[in-house]
Amino acid sequence: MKKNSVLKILVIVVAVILISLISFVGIYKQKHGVMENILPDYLLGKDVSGYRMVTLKVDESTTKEETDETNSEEKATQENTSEDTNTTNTEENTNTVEENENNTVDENTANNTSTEGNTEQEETKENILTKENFEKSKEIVQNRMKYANISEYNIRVNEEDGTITLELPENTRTDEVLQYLTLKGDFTIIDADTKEVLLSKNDLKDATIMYYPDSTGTTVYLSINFNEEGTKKLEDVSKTYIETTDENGESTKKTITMQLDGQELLTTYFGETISNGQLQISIGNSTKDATELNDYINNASYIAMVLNNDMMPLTYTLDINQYVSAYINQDILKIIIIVAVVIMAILIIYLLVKYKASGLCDAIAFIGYLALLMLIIKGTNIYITLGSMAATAVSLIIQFIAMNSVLKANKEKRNINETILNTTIMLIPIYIIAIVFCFNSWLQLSSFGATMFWGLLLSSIYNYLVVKNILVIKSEDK
Amino acid sequence: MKKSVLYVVIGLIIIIGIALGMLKGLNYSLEYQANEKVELYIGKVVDRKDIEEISNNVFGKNENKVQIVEIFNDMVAVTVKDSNDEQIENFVNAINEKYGVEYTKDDVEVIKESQMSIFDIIKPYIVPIIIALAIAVIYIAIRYHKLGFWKTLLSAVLWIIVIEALLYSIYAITRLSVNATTIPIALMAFVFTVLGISINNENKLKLIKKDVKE
Repeated sequence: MKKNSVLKILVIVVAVILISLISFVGIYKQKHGVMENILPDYLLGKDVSGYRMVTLKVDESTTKEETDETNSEEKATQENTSEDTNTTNTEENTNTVEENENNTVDENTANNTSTEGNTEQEETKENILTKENFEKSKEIVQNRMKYANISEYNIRVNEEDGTITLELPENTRTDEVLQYLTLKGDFTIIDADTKEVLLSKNDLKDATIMYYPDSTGTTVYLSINFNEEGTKKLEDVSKTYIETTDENGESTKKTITMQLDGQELLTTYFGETISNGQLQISIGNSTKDATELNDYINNASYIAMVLNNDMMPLTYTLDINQYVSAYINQDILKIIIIVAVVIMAILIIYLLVKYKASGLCDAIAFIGYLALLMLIIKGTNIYITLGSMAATAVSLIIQFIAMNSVLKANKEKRNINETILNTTIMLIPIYIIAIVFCFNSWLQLSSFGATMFWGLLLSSIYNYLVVKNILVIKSEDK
Repeated sequence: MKKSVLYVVIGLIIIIGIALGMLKGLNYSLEYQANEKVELYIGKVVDRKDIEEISNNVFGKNENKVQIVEIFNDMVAVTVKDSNDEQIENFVNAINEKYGVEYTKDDVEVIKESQMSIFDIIKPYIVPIIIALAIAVIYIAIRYHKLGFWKTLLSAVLWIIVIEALLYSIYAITRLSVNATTIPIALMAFVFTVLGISINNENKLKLIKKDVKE
């Protein structure tokens, strides 16, 4: 072998080893007397690092109140009906008076009514605590999480008592999202003095977030859009709830209060008539600070998340809220890594046996490919999940197939460039799949797609720049 | 001949697998099936391996999964299919002995979790997979239109369905545990099937080109 060729191959091999060392070990620098890796850490998904386990329990007390409300409504309807009957049927009135004269009958009637009332309450409670309502609540929670861009979660509902168990990724947003997930979503606009309900959730169309930049910064607005009926109601309300000045020059304000689940969002009055059905509420103050602005946007989007989804049929309360480590522990990860190393070793041995010296160089290049892919995963902030691990395995196998075809082409004295191009064209359907998955918000899919995409792209470039050149240098030498 | 035998075998596996899946269902892992989380605050830093050893002795090997609760490594959760008073008592006693604490079974909280619905597990994957499949298959049909547009398109769709059905059948027949790795495995199978279709069509196209040249 010529000295020049040996040197070229040696340079490539040393570069690959260096990249492998950087990727698998890191770059260490002394910082405050301690050696620290200056490369960023891998981002870990919930199936590898751990997750927040949350249970939402049906609030029985509220359910009881709801039952009572339903009962009193029913009772009121019955009373009305009874009044109507009383005025029309005199015979029945006489009978009732006769019965009232008899104390024993009266007591019995009272007991019967009470028992009937309890049974009715139980029946109504049974009507509320149904499998359908539990399932609907689960769907609403799922929709809210989708709206809040929760990248992955597990949800289950107990069909007997309606308890919802959630497994959410642990991050800075988890607690904020949880606060809003448990809300019933009962939005009302009431008269601040009389508490009369002026507009309700049924009058809403949707809620969107808007930004208005001005000289002092950016203001975040929550735009509440009303439906046709709501628009008319809002117009009337905006005409009534205004600031008025009497003859003496004294001003009086008629105010409304916006509520979410009974909690006051805002108390205000209208400066002008709103006829377009859009009510804009500013969230926080105008700001130039990115973190502050982000907080306002998050707050607005959480309220929008609740308003844009149905109202929960039941009231839920947060029961258990704890961080739990992942089922996949360090030992399982070690096993996965060992299995991957063994498979790679088998593939390398295959290359060595089949292609001898060329196989050795490409075996080293194969390790370099994995090292580069891991560096890209780190650099592009792809989360390490089971999905991305699977995609890494697929990328390695594809790279092996591609390298094998390049080595075969070299052995058969075919054009290497053409082989690499053909392989890349053959991989286009996989590129399509990877790109589609990349744009999905579900972490398992997006990490799978992103890893696949970079794996494929790296494979084409790497084979052209490294694998091909090793073979070219070797054949030039011959 | 060999190919037809292979197709018959695949067909049989799929039929048996689907039938078994419908009759017995799949074998869901502990984290997906209805389970109980036995939680105990120990108040001392624990080693996961020690807790695993205790759990294996009390609840049975491969019938429990240990997790550390919160970040201080002093609380554990053991997921089991179901537990009884005797097991809980034995678990607490073993923990008391190991860590020199004095807890009773009343200190243990048992959280019941219901089974996860299979639809909830696969729901986030359905739409993106259909979109990816549609675009990839249309591309394949256009790229290899010389092999017959509709023939290529339908065979690609069919092969993907067959491979995924085969994977389902393998899980149903072998009673392999359906866990967090199942979906990534199904995704791998999906990608390899598309790759296989692509390689196969490329080879067929080469043969046609070769025939034309000759």
